[in-house]
Amino acid sequence: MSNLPTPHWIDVAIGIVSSDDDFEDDFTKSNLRTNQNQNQQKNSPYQIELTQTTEKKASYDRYGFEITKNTDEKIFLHLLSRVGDEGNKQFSNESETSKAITNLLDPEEWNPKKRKYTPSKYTPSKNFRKPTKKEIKKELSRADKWIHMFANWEVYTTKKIKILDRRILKGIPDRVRGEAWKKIVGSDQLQKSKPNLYEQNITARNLTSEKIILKDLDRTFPEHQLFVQRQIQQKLYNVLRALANYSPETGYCQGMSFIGGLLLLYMEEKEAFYFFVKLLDDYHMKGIFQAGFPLLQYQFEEWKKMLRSHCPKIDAKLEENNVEPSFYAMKWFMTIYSNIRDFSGMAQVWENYLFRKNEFLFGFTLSLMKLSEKKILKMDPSYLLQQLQDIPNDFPISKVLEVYKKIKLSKDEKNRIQNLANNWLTQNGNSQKK
Amino acid sequence: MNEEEEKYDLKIILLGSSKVGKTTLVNRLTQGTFENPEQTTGATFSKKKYQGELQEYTFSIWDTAGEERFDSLSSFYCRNSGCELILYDITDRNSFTNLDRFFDKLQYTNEDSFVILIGTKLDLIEETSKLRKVTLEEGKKKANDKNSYFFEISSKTGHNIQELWETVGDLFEKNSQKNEIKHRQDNNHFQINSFTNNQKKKNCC
Repeated sequence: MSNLPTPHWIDVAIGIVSSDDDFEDDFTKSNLRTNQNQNQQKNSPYQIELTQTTEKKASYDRYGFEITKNTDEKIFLHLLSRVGDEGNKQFSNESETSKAITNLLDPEEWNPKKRKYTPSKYTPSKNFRKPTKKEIKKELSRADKWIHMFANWEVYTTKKIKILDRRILKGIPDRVRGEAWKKIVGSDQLQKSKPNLYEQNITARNLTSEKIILKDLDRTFPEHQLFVQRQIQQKLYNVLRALANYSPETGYCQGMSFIGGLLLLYMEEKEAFYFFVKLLDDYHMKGIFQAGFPLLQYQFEEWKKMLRSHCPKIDAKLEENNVEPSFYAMKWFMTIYSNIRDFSGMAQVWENYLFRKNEFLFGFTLSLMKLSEKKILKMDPSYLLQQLQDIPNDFPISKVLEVYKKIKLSKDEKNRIQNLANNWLTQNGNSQKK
Repeated sequence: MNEEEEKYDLKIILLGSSKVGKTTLVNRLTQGTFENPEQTTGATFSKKKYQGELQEYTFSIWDTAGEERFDSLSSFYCRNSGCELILYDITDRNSFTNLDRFFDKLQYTNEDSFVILIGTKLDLIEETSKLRKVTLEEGKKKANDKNSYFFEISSKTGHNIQELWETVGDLFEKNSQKNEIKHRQDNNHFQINSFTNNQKKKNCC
């Protein structure tokens, strides 16, 4: 982490309290609700909770599992890369690897009931079996390949792009994931070229956004142990505030906190800011989140067309029941599937999206629909709305990706998807000129 | 009337500013639980059965995002709604002064729909009365002005939740009886309206 003078939650909170006494009440309320904190000191409301958290010292990994001495070495298949994740330590030789393996506990120890957070109730149990020695070795060698790619990034984004493409589709090993994402998006470059951007934006004040962000902090992945803690909430708050200042036309919009939260699992606060800036600008999320959701609406229109031509039966059923994309696909298109409960699956969706952008988003959604076709057609219309939103949790993401590989979009469709953002930009530009 | 709308008897929509407790109320109603929910993006949907005097009904509950930016969508969600629950947080003055933008949505709902204004988080007042920012009288007056029913509730303790639900059911039954009579008069002969018709179908299955 850099030596960034992060404006402390405390300072920020004091600033707010002095300008708006509602916040003190908000705090009292939230404590009454959680039945915590009877012994208040009279300083800043947020200070108290912050010290409390540091005293607790419980720490959780990005999947919401408590990290203790014993659980440290526990891994399961789709989280293989947790071996040596701390400090990105690499297992350079055989004996270290096998030591890690002997430390693994029996799969019986992975009693789902004992876990504090279930990544997904749909996660197939085979994902929790003890990985074999071979699998661990393979995972580690895959991570090594990625580290090699980082060193030769230019080659892999040009001449050898097919290899990069293939490796992303396979899933990036978790321990190099954050690094890989930053490379794919180019936020590391942005951070180098504009090193002061974060400081500039985090010091500015924006009371409107701040109030909404504060309301959303404990409503971001509330089932996830990590996000219950103030430390990560503070980071999230800082990132979202800075973003609201960076992009006043977007400000803060609900939904952004899920993306910010996901990013903070894989990178530092400052890096997450630069990353999100890239998303707003290069991935056109400005058009998704700004008032009226202009780009999102274009996307929904396009999605309707695509559904009609690829899954006419589903389309007919939705049409017949007046089910609009905005009823079921808000989280899918706005927050890029932040409602997938299996976090490693969500991360996989994200890396593919980062690399292939909207073409993946549409293709993936189409794959989901194809996989769910039978179910949707059988669905009792009255449960349609209720169940449709949740279909991403019906399958392991790997299965959806298998279908995705076979999906063929026409040239015309690809062009239209690519032009969506341009159409919005032109319109946006025109309306600004007016 | 299309298939989907026939499948439930009443569409209830929840409106109100961000974090006043819309999703929490839905969870309390449908699952009987109280926990801190995720922010609602767009809308989420659930159902709950209501045991009427003669038969059982199914109500669908539409929970919406409270942030202002999602307003244009909630007008859309209001279509065909027969009951609107408009919520404010009795400990948050802004959520009360903002209410008009939700009453404005009523133009998109069914003509005969009924509105219940609900002050939430009553449990907080029980512990520290200084937190109350909207008085009971103000709430009642607002409801009166807007021709709507009124409750103060707590999804945490369950206070007034049952009463609220029964009021929704009662009003719905009264409304549908009225409609049935009106329907018969309109058609000038005996005709079972589509609603009871639908209910019969369901009972057969």
